[in-house]
Amino acid sequence: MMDKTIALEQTTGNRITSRTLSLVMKHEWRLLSRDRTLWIVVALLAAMMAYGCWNGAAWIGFQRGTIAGALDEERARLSSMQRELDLIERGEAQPARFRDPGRPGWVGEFLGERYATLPPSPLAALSVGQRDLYPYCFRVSTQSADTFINEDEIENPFNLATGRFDAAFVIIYLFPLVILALGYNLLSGEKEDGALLLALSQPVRLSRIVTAKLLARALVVIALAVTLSIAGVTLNRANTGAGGTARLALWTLAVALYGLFWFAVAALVNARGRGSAANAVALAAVWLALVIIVPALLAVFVSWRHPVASRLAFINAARDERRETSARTQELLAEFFAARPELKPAEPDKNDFMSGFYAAQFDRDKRLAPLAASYEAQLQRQNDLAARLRFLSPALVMQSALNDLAGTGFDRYARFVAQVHAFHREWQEFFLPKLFKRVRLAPDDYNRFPKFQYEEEAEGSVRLRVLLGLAGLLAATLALALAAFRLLRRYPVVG
Amino acid sequence: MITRIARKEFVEMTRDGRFRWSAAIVFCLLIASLAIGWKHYREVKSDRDAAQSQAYEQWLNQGRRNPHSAAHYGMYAFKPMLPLALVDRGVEAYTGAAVFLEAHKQNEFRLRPAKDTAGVARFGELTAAMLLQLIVPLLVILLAFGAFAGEREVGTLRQLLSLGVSRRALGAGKALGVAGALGLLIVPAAVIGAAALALSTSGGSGGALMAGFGRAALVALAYLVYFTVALLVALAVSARLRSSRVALLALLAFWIASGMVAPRAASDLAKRLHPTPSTISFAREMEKEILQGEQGRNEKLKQRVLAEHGVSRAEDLPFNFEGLSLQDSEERGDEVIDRYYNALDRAFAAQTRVQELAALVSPYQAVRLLSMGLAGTDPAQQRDFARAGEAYRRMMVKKMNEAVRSNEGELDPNYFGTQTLSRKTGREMWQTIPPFTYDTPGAAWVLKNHRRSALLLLAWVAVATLAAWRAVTRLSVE
Repeated sequence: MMDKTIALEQTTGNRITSRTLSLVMKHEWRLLSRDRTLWIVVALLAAMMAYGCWNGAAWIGFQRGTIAGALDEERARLSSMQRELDLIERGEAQPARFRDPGRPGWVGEFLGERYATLPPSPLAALSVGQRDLYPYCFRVSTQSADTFINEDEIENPFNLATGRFDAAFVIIYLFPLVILALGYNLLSGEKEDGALLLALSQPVRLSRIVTAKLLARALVVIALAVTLSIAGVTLNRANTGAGGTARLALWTLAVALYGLFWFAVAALVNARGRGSAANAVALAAVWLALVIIVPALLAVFVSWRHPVASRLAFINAARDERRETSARTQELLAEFFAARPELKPAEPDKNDFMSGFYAAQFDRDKRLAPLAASYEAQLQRQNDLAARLRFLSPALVMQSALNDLAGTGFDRYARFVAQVHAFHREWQEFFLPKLFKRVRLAPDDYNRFPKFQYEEEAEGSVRLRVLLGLAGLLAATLALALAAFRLLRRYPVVG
Repeated sequence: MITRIARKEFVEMTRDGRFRWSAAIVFCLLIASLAIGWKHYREVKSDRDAAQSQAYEQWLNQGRRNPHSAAHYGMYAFKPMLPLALVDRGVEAYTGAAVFLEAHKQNEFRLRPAKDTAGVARFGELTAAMLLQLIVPLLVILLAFGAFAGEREVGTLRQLLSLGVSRRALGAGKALGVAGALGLLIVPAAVIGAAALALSTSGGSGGALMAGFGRAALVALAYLVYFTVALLVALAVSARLRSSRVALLALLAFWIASGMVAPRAASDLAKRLHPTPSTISFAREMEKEILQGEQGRNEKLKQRVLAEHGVSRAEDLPFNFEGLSLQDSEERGDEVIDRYYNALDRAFAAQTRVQELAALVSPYQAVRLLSMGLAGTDPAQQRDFARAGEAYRRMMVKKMNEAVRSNEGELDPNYFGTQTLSRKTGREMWQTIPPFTYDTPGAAWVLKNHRRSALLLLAWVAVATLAAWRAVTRLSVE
């Protein structure tokens, strides 16, 4: 009986409070909808998201076009070489100077070089990420990897230094500002015009009012950001498969959580009970610290902790090795054949300088490999450290989450480079034994050339990484909200 | 009167805990960024100087070989750095540091340092320039947004004006007060910066020192003008808008638009209006065109030269025909290279013009371009360096081809293939190529290059002065 009464009272209590909640929210919504600032801010955000998506779409469209063009060129080149070789084999044509499609050395080194490409992911248009800095298309040949792996995309360095105006920029930098603009005077505004005092004379708790007001504003802004993201993907006609839809859901979750984080910051600052102008200053300072200063300091720390050695040292070391080995090619070739006797040709050709060149290259690459690998390893360490420390700022969590979801971050690029190295070895292993053994390519060999296909990371591990970051964001949001509500208990309604 | 108002403002601000804290933080960040910049400058400079002289040593000590092989062995050129780069690294992180100079082709700059840093670096580097361009104006806004609006809210403005204080004196006093408070932060930082510059320049000639200080003075002037714009805009807005809250919001919105939105929007717009090709298609098309030009030309050249000398075989010519042929194909190739690279340079220059125009709404963009220009870290000076490297490459390749043509050196008993590789020369030939040197363009060149940005910054000062003047003289107490 006793228990029943309590339960009954609790339900009535809940009903009353949930009714006040929706009442205050409705009231807040009525106020907001008549507020010109809200509409201006919302319109600005929408316009900037649209511009960002348009830019991202153009950018990814360009990359898709580049990759398609490269693969078309490759297909046309290889099939015309195959046809030509067919004619030569049947004695109906003569190979042009330096362009014999039957010589494995020439085909593997430059005539038949193949592209290794990193296709854009379904959501790539939303976040350009590191895709404007790192190459997405390599020309793989039998020569040392450092002849092509350091290739850069043509890009105005000023654009790279400025950064892109994409949807991720709007979300990471500007979206919080919109939230702060709507939340800086959440309580202080009502306090200053006396409405708060009036409201609190009714049987309603301050925390209830704050929650309702925050929810009303959060719903507007977050719904907007989410709608715009989805619209961005749809408008880009991005080819979203099942993986794409799941990623879009995670993207939406990330945007919503990021928005909630900034609402919690606004609530906490409001709970301190200062005036609107003081709140605005405090919020601007928090934004500046979290979005600009912390990332800049982290970048300094990370590159100080794991410095990448000077690349110039590699250049000169490689040249020393090149001079050194090219003087000993015959000797190195003999050593090479001693190690791999099965590749020794029946009769050596005095005019064949390529075998010697590659014997020297193998020797050189073997000795330079530790130095070359140290750059990639050190860069990996930097990124790993930055990933661990991303929890220092919600902007960093968002950058890595959005880049991961868009497939434009470092992790995907590092995977790509590792696969390109493997493909490069496969390519060398296909052509160079034929070169050493002095075997000609047959037209049919063209169908067996190794082909590069980027193998995506398991969807689960991408999601795990993103969710881990978002969990951190959620924890920070909850902590802030808790602190705000504790402070609210001592909120000076008067004075 | 003006000094009295200024002193009151100054004292009020310096006693404000918020100002003290934020000024202390910004000061620490400035000193830290200068220290980081100094370390970076020292490392990069010694690295590049060493690499440059080592590259020349390698060239000299490449041993005895055919001049054409030497041209293939080639040389590297490394872009030198000015001491001012410790203040403003400009686009250094996004331009390659080294270019390989070899026979037959112009190579792209490689090794963008940004590729060797974690993705977090894309949020921006912590440099003195970033703090001066973004953070200091924010501090100015925080100091000045309440200058008039705050007094108006609490009613002291009415009091002041009723005392017979002229509006102009009030405006001038406020401006001086804020400037004085800001000076407490900027002047020590500038002195430390100047000391760091002097330390970095030491060891250079007196002329270099003077030129360096001339540039540093120009950079200081640019930032001074920029801070003046920020101060005057803030005062104008504070005088114009009723409440300090609204004034602050308006100023913050302007700050975001100027420092974040406009530059990025302009970059993307510039790329849309003046697109550049992808590396793959650029290289492929250029190679194809060079190759097309090759076909049959060698034979025609041979017939012409044989006819001129009245002989029937290349072996009977008084020189090595291969050297002539190499140089001929080099020069035809250079024409194609020039066409492609000039088109690319034009696209980049057109993009830069769009970005300069962003300064119409963003004083940040104007000072940013000027600052990196004077620090020698802007894209234009990268291009200038690339051109110098290319001129050096052509000189080197031409000398090597002439050596082939005039059959320099001894006959190589092991040579095979064409006559091109028949002879070997050594250090005496490599020495005829002087080391690569590059003189960074002077401040006048830079200013001419950035005249649009300089003019727009001056226009900003003029407009901001006018706006502040009007707002202050029409200052209303309500």
